Amino acid sequence: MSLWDLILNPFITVLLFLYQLLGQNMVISIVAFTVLVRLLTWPLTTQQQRSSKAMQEIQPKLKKLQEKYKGDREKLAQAQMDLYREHGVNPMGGCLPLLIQFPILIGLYQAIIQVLGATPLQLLDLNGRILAPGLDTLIPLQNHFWWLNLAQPDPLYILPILVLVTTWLQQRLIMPPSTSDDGGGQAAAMTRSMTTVMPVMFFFFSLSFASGLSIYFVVSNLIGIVQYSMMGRADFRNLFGRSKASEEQPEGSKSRRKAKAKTSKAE
Amino acid sequence: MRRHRALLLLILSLVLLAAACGPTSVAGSWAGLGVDSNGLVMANQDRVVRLNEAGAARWEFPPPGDRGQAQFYAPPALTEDVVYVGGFDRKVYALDRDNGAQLWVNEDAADRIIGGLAVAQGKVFAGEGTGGLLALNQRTGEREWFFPTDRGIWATPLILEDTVYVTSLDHNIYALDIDTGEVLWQQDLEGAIAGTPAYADGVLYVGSFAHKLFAVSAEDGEILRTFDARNWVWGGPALVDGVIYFADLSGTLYALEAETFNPLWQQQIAEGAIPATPLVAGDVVIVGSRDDHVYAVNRESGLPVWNQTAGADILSNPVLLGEDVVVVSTLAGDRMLIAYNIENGQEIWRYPAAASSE
Repeated sequence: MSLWDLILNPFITVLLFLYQLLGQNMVISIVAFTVLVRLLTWPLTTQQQRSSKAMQEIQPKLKKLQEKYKGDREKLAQAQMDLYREHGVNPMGGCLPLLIQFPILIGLYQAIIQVLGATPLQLLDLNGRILAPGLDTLIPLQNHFWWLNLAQPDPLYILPILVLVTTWLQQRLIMPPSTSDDGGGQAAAMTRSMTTVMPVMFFFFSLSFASGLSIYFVVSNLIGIVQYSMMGRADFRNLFGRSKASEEQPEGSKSRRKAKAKTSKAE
Repeated sequence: MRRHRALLLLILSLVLLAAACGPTSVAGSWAGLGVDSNGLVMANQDRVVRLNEAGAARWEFPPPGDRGQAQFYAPPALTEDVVYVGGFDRKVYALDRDNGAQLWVNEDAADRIIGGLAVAQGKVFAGEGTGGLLALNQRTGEREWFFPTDRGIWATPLILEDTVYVTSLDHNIYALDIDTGEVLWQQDLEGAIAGTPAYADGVLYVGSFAHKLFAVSAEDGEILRTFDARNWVWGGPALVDGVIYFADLSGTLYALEAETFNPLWQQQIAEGAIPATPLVAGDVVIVGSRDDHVYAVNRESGLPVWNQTAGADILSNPVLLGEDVVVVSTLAGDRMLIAYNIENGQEIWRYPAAASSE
């Protein structure tokens, strides 16, 4: 048994168990499975968000350090480490939870494809992966739901559009405020790029992937929005182009920005 | 700079995700083989090939250079003049046996043709990958009737006189009127069925994914007896001289008395799954496995006679060519077919021939 089987086999078994429990409806099973996976990875997402918020908060100080130690990389690195330690921030804290979620996402996709067993080789691969007795009598699962064959891409493009919209919504809601003090706005600019790149890429994925995975993407995005809202990280004003931070800018900061703009115009 | 690096990392991650989530199996299935007195016909990947007894290709369909996206895996049905094949392109083709020219094509199927085709009483029968059996006019290819099922039909139908016996992944074996497609009876066998039944003396023998082999009355579908296997029984059984030979996905080969289901012997001969129907020829029973080997065991004792490694999964039903040659198909593109001497397992030829790759 490979390491990969340790992830995939339990996923397949749980998915089949849910299918049996939920009236043998594959769409409801995928939705329930997604909720379950998101609940299990909730602490990871929370940690990722906390870490990302903390990094955002110390961006102005990091910028100052970069200016102070320009040309001396060693001292800059040391000063940055001290700053991280002082604020209890792990610079990798935002990446690690994402990396852990990566094999989960791939495992989920493979589980959906395998249990649907659309071809003889897929169905043959499924044998031996079911860890609980009796569940293999459910094979093969009903993979038709309304207009969808869950093992195939959505021919009407409805799910890819939903993936695009919900991914954009989620990205937009957690977009950090753009300020002049956040290290040149790098983090915000990065997130703004992601707000465009991610939905488009996931849209194209959904055009060629099994529609069962698109259902996972949509549900996962919706849960993400709820989760970020509960953590106070979702800013619904981002949807209309205004963020909380830009409205709450202190007067001093605004006048500084105005002065800076005037100076650059004069130059 | 940092921003570009992060973006690059993000895109790389997404590309990796796309690669990891890509199609799990390019092929989707394994070769289907059919044999007649002139040689054999193989449906595999993008072609249907007619080969003579020496393994030389006589014709290919579609001809090289004219191949599109169509894939062929369903075992073909061979008659005196025509070869009938089904494709993953949802079409059933009738081809001239001598030159492979297309005689007709039917496009009524709503899904891929995975199971083998059968021909009887002027009709061609083709099961659809996600459900339903099509009966076509043998001469024109026009649809005569359609029988729907809840899940796919992946096995070749068995036809006895006026009845079509067909198994489905929906757990049922059906007996259908050959003229109308009307259900005469149906029986739930507790799990998906992907094998063709064997028949003798009014009894049908067939395995299911419920880890069982069943004996079912051909007259009314009553379950007469069952035998517990170790794993899914995918392939159909072979029935010779009152003995049933069948294999399961644990790699075990079984020999049972047909009348009682008393086991004569059972041997775990392979480390990989055996999804095919065993070939019984002379004194040996031959099967291929997912562990890349082809095994020949003594028919009386189940003891090994010879085995050969083919270097790739062997999932198709082995077929007998002439009197002393067994042909198996592998998943590898450079050895789609390998012919062995049935007595000693010595390799005789392979297709495509090794010389052609030089």
